[in-house]
Amino acid sequence: MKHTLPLSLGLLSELNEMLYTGISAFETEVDQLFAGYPNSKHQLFSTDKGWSARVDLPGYAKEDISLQFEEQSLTLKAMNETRGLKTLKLALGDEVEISDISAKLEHGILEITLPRTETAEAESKSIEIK
Amino acid sequence: MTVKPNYKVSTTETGATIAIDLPGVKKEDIKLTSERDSLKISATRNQEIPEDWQLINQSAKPENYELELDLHSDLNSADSIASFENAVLILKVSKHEEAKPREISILN
Repeated sequence: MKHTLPLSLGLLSELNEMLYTGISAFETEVDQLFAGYPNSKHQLFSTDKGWSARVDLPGYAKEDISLQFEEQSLTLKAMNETRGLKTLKLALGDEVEISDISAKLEHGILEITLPRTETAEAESKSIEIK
Repeated sequence: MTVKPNYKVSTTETGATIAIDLPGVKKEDIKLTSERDSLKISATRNQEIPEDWQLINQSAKPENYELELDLHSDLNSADSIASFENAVLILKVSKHEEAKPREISILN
């Protein structure tokens, strides 16, 4: 984990719990990044196809928002004259299929769909006991 | 459980404009009422998630909104317009006529 953003105690214990249950590196990286923005309202979900994030962005129209992928990170920028600039950066691990990332804005909430790469799909395997 | 939404007030010579952030809310789920000296806004937030989704983490639990604003006596709550765009409710409340600035003409 290369990020050293300040974390609230509550979130730190949550992270410890999650590391214990062995969720993917991507999920813990996202947590740490979101934790650096205490005023942003967001939710992160795991789905059948990968992950989805919901970020509250009231006051911005579609054209005010840009989502760009660069150097393994997804950068969200929302900018207009009335509300100013809001940014959020998401480090993505290998498990996200970059070319299939999509986003939609509805009721002031930006929903970002992050599909899992096919090779990352968990393979179930039976292990023979000798 | 409700939470107070973020809001911003700006004033002009003729009235006040209040912008209230209501992310996750549909226009029909906003209730806006006014009494002589106050405005009350309550809104329910859409909390639906697809069946296969599981929450990993959130910065805060999404809640419904409730806000009550006391209005200065200069303001006439009956003379107000409301609009809703990009999840922001904008209320424009005018001042009572007597409270608006008037030019006084000077006689010879």
